[in-house]
Amino acid sequence: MTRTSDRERRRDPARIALYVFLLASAAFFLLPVVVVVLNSLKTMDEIRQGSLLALPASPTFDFWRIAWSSACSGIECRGISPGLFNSIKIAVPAVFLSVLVGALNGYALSQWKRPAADRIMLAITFGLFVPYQCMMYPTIVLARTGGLFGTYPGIVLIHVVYGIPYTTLLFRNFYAGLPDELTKAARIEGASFLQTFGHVMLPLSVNMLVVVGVLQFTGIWNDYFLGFIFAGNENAPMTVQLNNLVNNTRGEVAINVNMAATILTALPTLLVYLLSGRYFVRGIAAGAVKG
Amino acid sequence: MIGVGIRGVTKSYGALPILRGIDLTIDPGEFVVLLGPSGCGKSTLLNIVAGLEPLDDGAIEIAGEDMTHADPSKRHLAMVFQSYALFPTMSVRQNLGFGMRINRVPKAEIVRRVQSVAALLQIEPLLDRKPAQLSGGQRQRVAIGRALVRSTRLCLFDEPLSNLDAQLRADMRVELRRLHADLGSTMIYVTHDQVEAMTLASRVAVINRGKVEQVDTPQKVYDRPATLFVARFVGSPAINLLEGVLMADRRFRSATGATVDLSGYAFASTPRPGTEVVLGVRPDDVRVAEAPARRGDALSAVPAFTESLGPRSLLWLELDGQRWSMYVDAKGGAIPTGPFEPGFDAADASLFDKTTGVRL
Ligand SMILES: Nc1ncnc2c1ncn2[C@@H]1O[C@H](COP(=O)(O)OP(=O)(O)OP(=O)(O)O)[C@@H](O)[C@H]1O
Ligand SMILES: [Mg+2]
Repeated sequence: MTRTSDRERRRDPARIALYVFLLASAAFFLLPVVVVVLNSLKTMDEIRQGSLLALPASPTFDFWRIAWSSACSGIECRGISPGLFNSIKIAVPAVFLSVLVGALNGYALSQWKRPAADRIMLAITFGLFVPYQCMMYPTIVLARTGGLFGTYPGIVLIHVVYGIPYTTLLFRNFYAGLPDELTKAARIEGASFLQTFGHVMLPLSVNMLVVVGVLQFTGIWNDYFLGFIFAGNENAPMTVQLNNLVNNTRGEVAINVNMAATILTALPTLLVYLLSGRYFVRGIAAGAVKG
Repeated sequence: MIGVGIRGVTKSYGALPILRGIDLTIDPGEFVVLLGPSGCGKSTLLNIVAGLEPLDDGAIEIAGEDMTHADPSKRHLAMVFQSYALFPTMSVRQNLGFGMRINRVPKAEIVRRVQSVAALLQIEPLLDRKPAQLSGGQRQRVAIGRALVRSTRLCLFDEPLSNLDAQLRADMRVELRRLHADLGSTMIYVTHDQVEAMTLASRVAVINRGKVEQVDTPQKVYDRPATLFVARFVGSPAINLLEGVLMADRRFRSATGATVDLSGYAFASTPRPGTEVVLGVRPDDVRVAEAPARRGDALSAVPAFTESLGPRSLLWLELDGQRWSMYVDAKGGAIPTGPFEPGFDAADASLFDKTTGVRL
C-alpha cells in the first residue's frame, strides 16, 4: 500500500464519520469518569457553586488524602486504606486459585472424551447461569457449619468456588481447540497428566491465563455482595468500606471525598487492565481463532 | 529390537465399527507399513498400539508381553505424528530432551544424546529455535529426532511425510531407510501413499475398512495381490481389469465373448467353471501380441491416446469397454495406431472372484 492511498483513505468522508462516531462514543462513556475525577479535585464550596463539568479552579489532592486515610465510616475514621489491603489479601489468592483450578479442570474436561464429561460440563455451565443470590442461603448455612463464615479463608474460598465454573468453561474451550496430538506426544514421551499440564499446556496458555486472571480480578475486586456477607468486619474489602463511607450519614455529605474514594477503589482494576493490555488483546484474539 | 503382536483387535466409535478384527505379527527389526485409503482406520490402529486409544476387544503384545492395557509410557516406544506435534513453547533442544527430562535422565546424558541425534539429522543449527521458526521439512526432522533420541526399540510413524512437497518427501524416504538400517529398531509406519509403502517397507499390510487384506513384501503385494481391493489400490497407473466368467477349459471369457487362455495361471485351488471373475493385468505386463491368434474371439484393443513419461510412454487403450493401459517404448518401438491384439503372460495376471474379491 502506498502512502498516498493511505492518505486518501484517511480523507474518505465515511472514514471521517466513523472517527467522529468513535470519538463521540468514547466521550460518552468517559463522561462519568471525567465528572468523578474533576470533582474529586474541587472543594465542596466549588462543587456547590459551579457545574459538575466545570474545571477545578485550584486542583487539590487533599480530598484524595482524606479519602485514603482519614475519612469516617461509622465509628472509624481511617479512610479506605485498610480496605485496599483487605481487597488485595482476598483477590490475589482467590484469583490465583480460581484461575489455576479452572485451567486444570478445563484441561481435564477437554481430554476426557466420555459422555459423562459433557454432562459435567453442562452442569458447570448451568451453575454459571444460576444467579448466585439464589444460592446465598444454603451457602451461608454451609459456611457457618464449616466455621468459615465471616473469616478470611471463608471469603477467599467463596470467591474461588464461585469463580471455578466460569474459569473452567473458558479454559475447557481453549484447550479443546488445541491439537489433540500435543497431549498424545507428551504421553508417548512418558509425561503424566500433571506433567503434561505443567510442562506443555500451561506454558501454551500464558495469554489465556492473563485474560482469565484479569477478568477474575476485576470480578473479585469489584464484588460487594459476597464481601459484605462473607468477609466479616476486619476483612471487609475496599468496596464494602467505600459503601460505608459514602453512606455515612453523620455530618455533611462530602461529595469530593466520596469521589476520590471511588477513584481509589477503581484504580487497581484500571492498572491491571493497562499493564496487561498487550496480553489481554492477544489472549482474546487467540481465543477467537483457536490458538 | 522388539516384536509387536496385534491380536484380533476391534474398535468402534459408537455404533460405527472402525477396526474389525486386526491380526498382525511384526517381527523384531522389521519395517512394516500400514497402507490403506483415508479413513480405513490406520491411525486408530497405530494409536491403539501406542496405548493412546482404548480398544474394544483383542490384545496388543510388545516384546512378548501383554500390553493391552498398559499406559503409553510403559510401552517404551516413540511416535511421530502427522502434524509433528512439537511443543510450541519449547526450543528444538528442549523438545528433543523433553522425554528424557521427564524420565530423569542425567543432564550430561541428555546433552550428549540430543547432540548426537541433532548431528544425525543435521539439525544442529536449529537447536535454539522454536518450532514456529522452522520450515515444514525442518519440523519433520525435529519430530523424527524426538522419536529417535530416546533410542526406543519401537518407533511408530503416522504419515510423517504427508505434509511435505514431493522433492522433500523423496529425500526423507531415503533418509528414513538409512535410519532404519543404522538403528535397526522395529518400525511401524502408516501411510496412504503407495510409493512410500513400496520403497520403505520390508512388509506391507494393506488395510481396507478396518480389516487387513494382505500382509506381504512390497513386491508380492504388487505382483500377487490377495484381493481385488489390493490390486486396485496398489500400483500407479492402476491395474487393468476385465470382468468375465471362468469356463471349463481354464479359459476366461469376457462379457463380449473375447476369451483368454489361463492355462499358465497358478490357481490357488481348482477353479470352478461358471464362476464370475475379474481378470487383472498390470500395465507393465501388457504388450502387443507377438503371434496374434487371429481367432474371432481374441482380445482386441483400440489405442486411445499416449502419455509421455520420458523414456517410455503410457498408451491408453479401449478394451472391451474398459480403459486399459500399457507401456510402449517412446523411441524406436512401434506404437500401434489401429486396433490390435494385446497379449500377456497368464502367469503374470491375477484372477479374482467377482463376488468375494478374493484371489483365485
Ligand atoms: N474420535 C473419533 N470419534 C468418532 N469417529 C472417529 C474418531 N476418530 C476417528 N474416527 C473415524 O474412524 C475412522 C478411521 O479413522 P482413522 O483416523 O484411523 O483413519 P486413517 O486410516 O488414519 O485415515 P487418514 O489416512 O485420513 O489419516 C474414520 O472414519 C474416522 O471418521
Ligand atoms: Mg490417519
